[in-house]
Amino acid sequence: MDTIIRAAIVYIAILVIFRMAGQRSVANITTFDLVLTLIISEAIQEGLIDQDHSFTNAMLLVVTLIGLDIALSLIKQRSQRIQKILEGTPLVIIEEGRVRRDYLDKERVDLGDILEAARDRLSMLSLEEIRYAILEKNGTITIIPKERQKD
Amino acid sequence: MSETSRVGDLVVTQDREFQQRSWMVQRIGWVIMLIIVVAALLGVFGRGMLSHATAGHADGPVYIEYERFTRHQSATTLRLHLAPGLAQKGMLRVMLGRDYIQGVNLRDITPEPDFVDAGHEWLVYAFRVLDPTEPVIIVFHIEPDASGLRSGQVGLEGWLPVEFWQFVFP
Repeated sequence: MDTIIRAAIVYIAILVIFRMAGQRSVANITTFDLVLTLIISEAIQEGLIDQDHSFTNAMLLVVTLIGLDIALSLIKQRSQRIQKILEGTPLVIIEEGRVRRDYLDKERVDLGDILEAARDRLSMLSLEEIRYAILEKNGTITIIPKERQKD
Repeated sequence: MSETSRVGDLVVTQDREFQQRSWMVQRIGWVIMLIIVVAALLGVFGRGMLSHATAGHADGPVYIEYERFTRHQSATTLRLHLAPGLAQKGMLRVMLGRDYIQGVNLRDITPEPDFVDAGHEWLVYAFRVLDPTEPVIIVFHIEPDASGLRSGQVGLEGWLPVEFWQFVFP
């Protein structure tokens, strides 16, 4: 019985803690974030397994975690409010070419990240070509370019 | 159908109010995390200044050092200081409350007892003593098995036992 409770508590605790870290932390795959992910997996492993190395325990854990995932996704579907709380909302960080510095500071995103996304997706050269930049729920940045001036 | 709002020509489900509240909750979360880390460093979750405790009198027969906060299956020690001159026929008989023992995994005892007498309420560990005129230190290496508030009793046979409380974090 305690396997199930343990799995549920760990799952929810990690969810809450990552939400506290903000959207950006989970998106970027830099060395920094890779190390974090690796170490966190190791850290919670023993807490979940609790010296029970049986196949049954492993299956119980998997079923509980997937079950929670499904339950949460059903709940998210029904309730917009809960979806916002669990996943966050997109945030417009450049609006008609104007950079919202206060939002950038709050989300700890810098212009470099925006430029990187612009180069990556649209091969853009500079901020001037960006009409809108949106920080999506999953932490990625999407760019809407300005209409090119037709000469 | 999720609601959408417009930011200029962009159709996006941004929610400014929610965002502001999110940020505030995040900041509060950070403060809580900081408090947890500081508390842990101080020993609130075991293995630190605040968790190291003693019970019994330094000049009494038994005086113990233990951790008042510890964690499930996390190694901790119960260190008994036994005053000199208390050995009976070269043996020291140390009593440990059964209730307490039941909730822990006893890994090791340093030194090893000669034999153990099992009783209903107590387990009595008998140790041979080299020099009855010297104080003796006996260390029980344990790993708590049960979580929560646990009370323990330990003492020398024939003397009033020392009581102590331990909180085991799951």
